[in-house]
Formats: sequence, structure tokens, C-alpha cells
Amino acid sequence: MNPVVEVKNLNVTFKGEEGSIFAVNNVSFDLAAGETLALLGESGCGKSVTLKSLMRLHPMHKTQIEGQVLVEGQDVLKMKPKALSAMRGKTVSMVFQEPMLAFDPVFTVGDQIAESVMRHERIGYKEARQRALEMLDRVRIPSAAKRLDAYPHEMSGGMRQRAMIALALACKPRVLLADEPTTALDATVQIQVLLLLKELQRELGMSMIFVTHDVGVAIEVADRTAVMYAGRIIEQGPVQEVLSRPWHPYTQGLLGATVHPGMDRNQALPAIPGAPPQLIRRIDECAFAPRCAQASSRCLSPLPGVNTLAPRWTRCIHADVSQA
Amino acid sequence: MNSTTQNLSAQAFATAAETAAISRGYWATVWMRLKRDKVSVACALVLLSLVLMAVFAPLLAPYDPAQGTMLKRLSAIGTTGHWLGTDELGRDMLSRLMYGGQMSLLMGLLPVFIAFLIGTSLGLVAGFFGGWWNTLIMRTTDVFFAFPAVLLAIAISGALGAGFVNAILSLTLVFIPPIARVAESVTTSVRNLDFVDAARASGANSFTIIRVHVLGNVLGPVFIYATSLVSVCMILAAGLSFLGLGVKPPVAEWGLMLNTLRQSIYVQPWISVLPGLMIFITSLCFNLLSDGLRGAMDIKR
Repeated sequence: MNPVVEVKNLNVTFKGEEGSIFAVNNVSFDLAAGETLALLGESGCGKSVTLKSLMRLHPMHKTQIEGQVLVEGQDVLKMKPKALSAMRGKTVSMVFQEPMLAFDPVFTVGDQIAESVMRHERIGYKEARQRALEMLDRVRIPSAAKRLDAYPHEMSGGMRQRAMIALALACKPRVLLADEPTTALDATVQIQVLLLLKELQRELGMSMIFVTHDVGVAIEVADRTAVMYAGRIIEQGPVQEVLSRPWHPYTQGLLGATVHPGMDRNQALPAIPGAPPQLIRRIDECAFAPRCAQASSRCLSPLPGVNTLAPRWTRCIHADVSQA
Repeated sequence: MNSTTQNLSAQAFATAAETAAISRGYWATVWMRLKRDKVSVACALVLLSLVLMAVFAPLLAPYDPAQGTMLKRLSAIGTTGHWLGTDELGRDMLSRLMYGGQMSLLMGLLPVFIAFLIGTSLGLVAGFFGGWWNTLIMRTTDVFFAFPAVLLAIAISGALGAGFVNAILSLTLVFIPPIARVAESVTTSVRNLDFVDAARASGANSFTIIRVHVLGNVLGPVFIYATSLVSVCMILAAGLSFLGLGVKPPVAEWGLMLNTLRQSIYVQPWISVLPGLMIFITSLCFNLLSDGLRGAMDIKR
């Protein structure tokens, strides 16, 4: 089966007055229909930048994007503005991290959903509003009819994120991009929203790319995961395998630094020493080497290529792949 | 038949009231909050009566504002037949104040309105597209900021020559830069908010984003700022007329009246004060109303 999304050698560079930032380097992955991929990593590792590249949402004049982003076989990076507008929200759509900021404060939630539907499906305001109502119902917002005319600030955080999901799914997209959709929510609402997303994904048969720094969330929603560090994917594979037997020292460190049940509360969490590198140059060697306990001099020369088509791979010369 | 209609309309009213209770639109909420603010309501009523007075001056004024008799010049306030006295040419003050409102209000509102339309568009373009556009538009407006507003208005009016149209033109030019600057700064802050990205992610093109999402958020603050400029504009317009750069006699206009009555200040001080009092009341009301609007439109409070 053909993948819905294919990203090949994606490079994103931000041109600034003080030089360039190499935010994403040679990222490749693909996504089958109905599959969920979790992009896992800490802040600033390029996961959101990668996600936004799929819709080309970066400021145009400051960003240089290279590579290929194929959505249903069409290269997003080569699309004309019209085709791009038609694709955004219809084929690929996005849920943002901060639902308070992602809604326009001066329009009602219903109108904002209807606006998107009207744009893509050439139907009247009345029908579009009807669709908005159905969607609010579908994301289980209580008394949806009333909420249709509510302003974003009149809703609670969890309800706003549900409404955001309703907006993103209103045109039944093939691919949903979720940029840390549960980070801004409290823990009890988080799990509700995650379950809702999974359920809607199954109903609509869409693929999903889920950006998160939360290992628990990744396990909960994803089929596969790609761990990112310093703008590169350093390990990729089925989520259960990667997170139960990580190959890359960074993934191991990340999991070690995560709270899990059965821990002694007096014991300090093991942290990875040091800080991620500045992305002011293109890093061809292992970017994690300066912080890595297993690093040797070989780690400082450019890394050999890896077969990114394999079901599971990692970008580390020390990784003991045989134990899989 | 009659009762059926009544029933139906009562039903319709009930449904309407119900809907209103569930969802009030943005402007309905603003309106409701404004109504609760006593100062704003009072100011709005004063302004409304001033506007009505000016519009219906031909019907309400007891005398022709341009006709007077030298025999009755500078009658005191309270003279029978001329309740607000007469001016230095024996023209009825009450009638002249009413007619004067037409010109003064027009000269206070029209330049700000035109400047609001032009300045907001310029600010939107400069703020949204940034870069080259921003430099071009904002540096040009900066040139205007080098001169004080009064001086600029006088200079432009002086260069164009006296007259109603030229005065409006010069005042419009004076108010475009400050409005453009406010619009630009609000646009710049709105442009970087997530919902602009969200709108783009749902397929909106730049034009739709500017028209719907940016304008929707910029219009409020800029509108409030513009209402506060109306009083400044009225005073500037009065100043231009006072200097002989606005409307020409015998047209009644508050600033011009203030000018011509200046010489009579030792004979009838209270009559000389009247046009100034009108300017004062009108600009005060505009300022207070703009303040009330600011409070009412800040809907998240």
C-alpha cells in the first residue's frame, strides 16, 4: 500500500540576521493510511518545525525548505498557493498546542468551524453551521447547540481543545497533524482528549502525526515513533519496541529521565548531562556525542548513512542492533 | 385573525428572547455593557442631541444665522427674542450656534473617518506583510510625526488655501499617520498569534486572513483610538477657522465664531465664551465616550 505521507530528506533552515539555524536536517519518514506516528523529543529538537513543513506554515521569506514532502503523491513544497490552500484543512489539517491562542477571539467557535467548511466544500452558511454542530457533538461537547455561539474565552481549556479538534476534523482530512495537543491541558482532561483523538481517528480512517515530548502520551496513541534530537531523527521504529528496548543512548537517557510508577520518590531522576547543541551549523557527526557516556572518537566523524526504509533503525554507531 | 397575529408575534418574540439569552453576539454584548455605563450613556445622549440640533437647525433655529441688525448688536444673554444674545453683527447667537454645529461636527468627524479608512488600510498592509512594505509605509508616516499636529494642519491648509474642502483635506492628512501607526502595531502583534497560523492551516489565503482575522482584531482598538481623535480634530478645525484657514465668514462655525467674537470679550464676555463652551462640551463627550467604548469592547474582562 502506498503511504499517505512521504517525507524525503527534509531540510529546514531559518535565515536570520545573525546567521542560519539548521532546524531540521535530513529527516525522512513515511506514514501509512490509518497509522499514527509520534515525533518524540525535547523542546527545540525540530519536531514542531518538521510538522509545520508538512503544511508549509513557516514564514516564507525567512525559511529555506529542501527535500520532498509528498502528501497523497503530491509534493507540498512545490505546490502553487491555490493548491496549497485547497490542501490545507482539507487533506491535511492541524491541531495546535495552545487552544486559547489557536482560536480567533472575536469570532464564535461555530463560525470559525463553519468558515473552514465553507471554504473547502462550497456550501452555504446554514449547512456549514449544521456541520459545525455535528462536529461539536462528535467531539462530545455538552449542549453543542449552545456552544456553537460561544466565544473561545467562554470555554474551558479542555472544551476549547475539543472544539479545536472539531475544527481540524470538520472537512474529514486524510492526515491530522497534532502539535502537542494535550500539553496545555491538565492530566484528567489529557487522557480524555487522547482517547477522543484515537476514536475519531479510527472512525474517519485518517493518519496522524503526533508531536509530543511526553513518552507516556506517545505510548498511548502511536503505532510507530521517531525520536528526534538536534534536528534529526535518531531512532525510529514501532513504539512498543523503541520505548521498551531503546537502541540509541539518547532514547535510553530520555526514558531514564521519565517518571514511571513504582519509583522511589526520594530518588532523584537521572538526567542527561549537558544541553542540546546550538543548531548554528549543519551537524554531520553525532550531535549527541558530547553528552553521551558511550561516545568514542569515532562519534566525532560524520555518521554513516542508515537504511531508513528498515522497520526499525537508529543513527548510532555503538548501538547494539543485534539484541532486537 | 388579529389575536392569531398577536400570538404569533408573541411567540416569535419569546423565541428571539430565548436565543438572545443563549447567545449574545459580540456587538450586542458591547452594547449591553455600554448601556450600563452611566457616563457613556450621558455623553452619547448629549452628542446625539447636538447632532440632531445641527441636522435640524433649519427647522429649529428661530432666526436666519446670516441675517442680523446692527441695532441689536451684542445684546446680553436673556434678551427677549434672543435668549443667548446676539453677536457683533447683531445675529442671533442661538441660531448661529445651531448652524455652527453642522460645520463643526462635520469638520470633527469627516477627517477622522477618512483617516480611519486610509490609516487602517496602510497599517494593516505594513503590519501584515512587514519587511519592505513596512519600511516604506511607516518611514513615510514618521516624516509626518516630525511636525506637531497643529503646525502640520496649519502648514497644509496654508499651502492649499482657505476653505472647507482644503481644511478637511489637511486634517485628514494630519490624522492618517497616528492611526496607521496604531493599526500597524496592533497588526504586528496579531499577525504572530497562533490563530493566524491556524487559519492558514485550515486553508485561508492571505487576503482572507487579513480581511477576517486580522481586521476583526485590529478594528476594535483602532476604532477606539479614532473616536478619541475626534475631539482633537474638532479643536484643530476650530483652530484653523480661528486663524482664517477653515470656513469663511459669514458661514457659522464654532471656531470662526470664537474668532470674530474675540473683540467683544470686554463688552459681552459670556457671549464670546459660548462657541468655546460648545467645542469644549462636544470634545469632552467624545473623549468620555471613547473611554467607555474601550471598556465595553474589552470583552474578555
